[in-house]
Amino acid sequence: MSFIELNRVGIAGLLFVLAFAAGFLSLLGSGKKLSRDRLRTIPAFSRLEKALYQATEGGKCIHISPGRGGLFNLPGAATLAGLRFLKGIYLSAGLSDRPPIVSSGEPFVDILSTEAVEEIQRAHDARHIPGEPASQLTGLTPFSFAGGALSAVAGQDVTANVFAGHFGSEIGLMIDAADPSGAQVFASSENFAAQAVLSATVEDPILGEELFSAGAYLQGEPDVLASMLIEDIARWSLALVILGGIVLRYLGVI
Amino acid sequence: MAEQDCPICGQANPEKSETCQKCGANLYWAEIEPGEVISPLANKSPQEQDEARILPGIEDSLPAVPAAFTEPSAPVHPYRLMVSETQKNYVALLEKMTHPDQIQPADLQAAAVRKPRYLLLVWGILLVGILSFSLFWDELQVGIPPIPAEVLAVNRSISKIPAGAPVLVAVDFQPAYTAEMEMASEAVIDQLVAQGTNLVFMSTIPTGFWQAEHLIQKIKADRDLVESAPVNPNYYNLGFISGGALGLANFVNEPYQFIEAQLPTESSASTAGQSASLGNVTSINDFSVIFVLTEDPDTARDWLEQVQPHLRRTPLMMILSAQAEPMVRPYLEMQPAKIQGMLVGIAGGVQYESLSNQVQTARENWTASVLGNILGGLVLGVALTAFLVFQRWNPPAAPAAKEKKP
Amino acid sequence: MKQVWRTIAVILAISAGILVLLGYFFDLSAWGLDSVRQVILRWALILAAVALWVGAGNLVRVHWRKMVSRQDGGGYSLVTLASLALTLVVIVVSGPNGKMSQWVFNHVQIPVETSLLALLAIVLIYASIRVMRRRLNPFAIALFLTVIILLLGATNWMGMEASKFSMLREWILAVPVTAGARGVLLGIALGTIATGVRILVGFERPYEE
Repeated sequence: MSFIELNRVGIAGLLFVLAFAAGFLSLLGSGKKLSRDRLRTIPAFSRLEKALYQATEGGKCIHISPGRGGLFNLPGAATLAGLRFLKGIYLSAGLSDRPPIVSSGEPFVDILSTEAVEEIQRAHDARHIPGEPASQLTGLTPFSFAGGALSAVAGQDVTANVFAGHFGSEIGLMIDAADPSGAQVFASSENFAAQAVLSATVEDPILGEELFSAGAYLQGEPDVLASMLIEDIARWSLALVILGGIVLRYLGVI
Repeated sequence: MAEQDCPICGQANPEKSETCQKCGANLYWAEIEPGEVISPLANKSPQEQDEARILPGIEDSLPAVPAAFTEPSAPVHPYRLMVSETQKNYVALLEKMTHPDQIQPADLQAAAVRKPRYLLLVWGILLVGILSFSLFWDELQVGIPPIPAEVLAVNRSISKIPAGAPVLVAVDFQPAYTAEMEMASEAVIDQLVAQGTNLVFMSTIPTGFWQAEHLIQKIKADRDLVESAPVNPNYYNLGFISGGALGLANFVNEPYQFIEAQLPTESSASTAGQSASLGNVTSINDFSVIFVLTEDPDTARDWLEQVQPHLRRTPLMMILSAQAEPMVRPYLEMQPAKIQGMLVGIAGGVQYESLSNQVQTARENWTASVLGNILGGLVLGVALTAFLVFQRWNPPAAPAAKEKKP
Repeated sequence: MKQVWRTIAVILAISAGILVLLGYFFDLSAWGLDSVRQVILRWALILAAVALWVGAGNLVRVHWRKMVSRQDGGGYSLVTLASLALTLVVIVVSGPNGKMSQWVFNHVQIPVETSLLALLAIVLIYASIRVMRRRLNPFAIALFLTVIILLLGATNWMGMEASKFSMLREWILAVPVTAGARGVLLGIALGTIATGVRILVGFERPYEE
């Protein structure tokens, strides 16, 4: 095998990913008990747990949207994180007579959401209403997706809206639609335009990489906890490298 | 076979038995633990106990007054119910819901009645009114911002393109951003048309095909108004390439397979030159320039990561919406730069129009755009000042109650 | 049997992922794997195109059910289905390049979506004021001050050269915004790498039944 024009950046990137994978696997294989009690408190997740209880006890339902990220682009990871949100919430609040409403803005997201919901229902021997789709694709462009989801967001029986995945600035319309009915809003996106909108319109948005920690906060899944720990190590390492580079550059070494 | 003891009478019962064979107690309803039976007379002296009986002096006779009336504050707990923490939490929540004085405002959801938002309506009318007014008031003009180096770089690159050379234009913006993106890119595409280049449109989003047609129709219509002899743009529309970043990777490897399907089957005198020009495109580097029109920084990064590494001398230019600029600008400023030129938003369109002196679509809407920004900033500034200084304008909602452990 | 299929699915997914990843760094043609990689990429493109049809089918199913069962919003579902059917007929009759197809796009889709974006501009200001009312801590104040400076400094005021707002805006964009954005981007990139690694080692299985 030969490298095709592999430059230093490419080599560094490949080694970084390999080191990440090795750290992740060794941590999982070491048998070390990872607990979510050591995670810092994210207000939105605490509020979300309460909202799930209230929705179940109050006979209301929740609207969840994993976004419009697809799988073949960079936002694909956000889509998968959004699906973790969906699974975690469905396990807590979905096995009832008022299952959550799931909407999406991209065909692959819709297919995966449907699969996730039906998997949980099968695993717990729950039967949804025959013929009722487990998930709905509300539009194929960002604003048609937002427009189509408004009826679900502003529904009278919806007590909380969870937006977790890849959204653009159209998320502002959906958040605003939830306001008149007083439904709570939990929102997260890895897109910067969406994060800007969330910062200005939501009281405690889930920003940046917090989106990827849903599996840890909601279900305490060991693989997510392990990858979060490795991410912390990687983040500190990168910060030290950057600082070191600044110092060396300032000293004229590089 | 395993056995289970009845918690009431102690009788040993088979494992799967639901009721006790001796006393009939339900063995599965709740796990109950026999507790200490507390008699209402337990704390009384022997004389008091005797006086409280129906038949004083007889030890086993019943008390004269039922315990409920004598010792209301001494509950009798013959059994203790064993429940889990989760069940206790649910019970606590139910208790709160049945005791209105314990419920915090944050616990309740507002009624499903939709509150009218008059302030939103007023703000909307004000904004639309002022901007519409500015569109019709020609004397109200705002100055053009200084032209940055990246816009000049775009102009220089285009001026070097010979007539008939193929130029790739990726129309990767959503229909919602049509207004801004067409204002940003129209002058550039118009100049390419005027120079007689062969435009090759493509898109990684489904609506891109029609978006490209809309753009070219607009340019034709504007040129018809400006020039006496309309110019027919030379262009090919490759349409939608599915798969996002993967589709781009495929396109980079074999662009000709996408172009070949669009070449005219019978060459006419006017199209022969175009076919020959496009027929020479066998790799991505055969394009003279690549323009990417997008509002999404992720799409811009897809092009930078999938296509740009394969480019040798072909410059990559970005025409972006204002929201994408902060994420893409570092690629312009890095050394070596991955982007050779950039136009951002309506401001970029205005700047380029001042260089090319052709269509003035962005210039016509520039004043309204600036006024909208200023109006938004002023409204936010006034609101922030009011909240900071007075702190009395619609008192803030009560903070969320802290969670109480049961 | 189900377990066997599950194992095969996991092996296929991991193999395909590793092959595509390695193709970015190594020349796989020496091992004859480059053609396999190309085939996988092409299959992905076909899947992406077919998924559009699956999504459209789901959309029809949801709205048909809403309409037939006369749920709230059933009237809107009728409009949706009618529009979809009409657009399909137009494109089939006139072709995707046809004038009628373009007319539908120019006179229906673009105006509707640009109107929604314009609505967003109005709604965002209002929603920001609502958040100001509920949450006015130092971070929120800094956020809104930055927004105000960026809006007011978008251009020169009344023809003045390089107004103070514009200079401040340039500095804010160049220093704190870029620095903060890069920090968040690094975090998101790490999260993305973590998700990708979990897929490649078989812990994340969105395809699993």
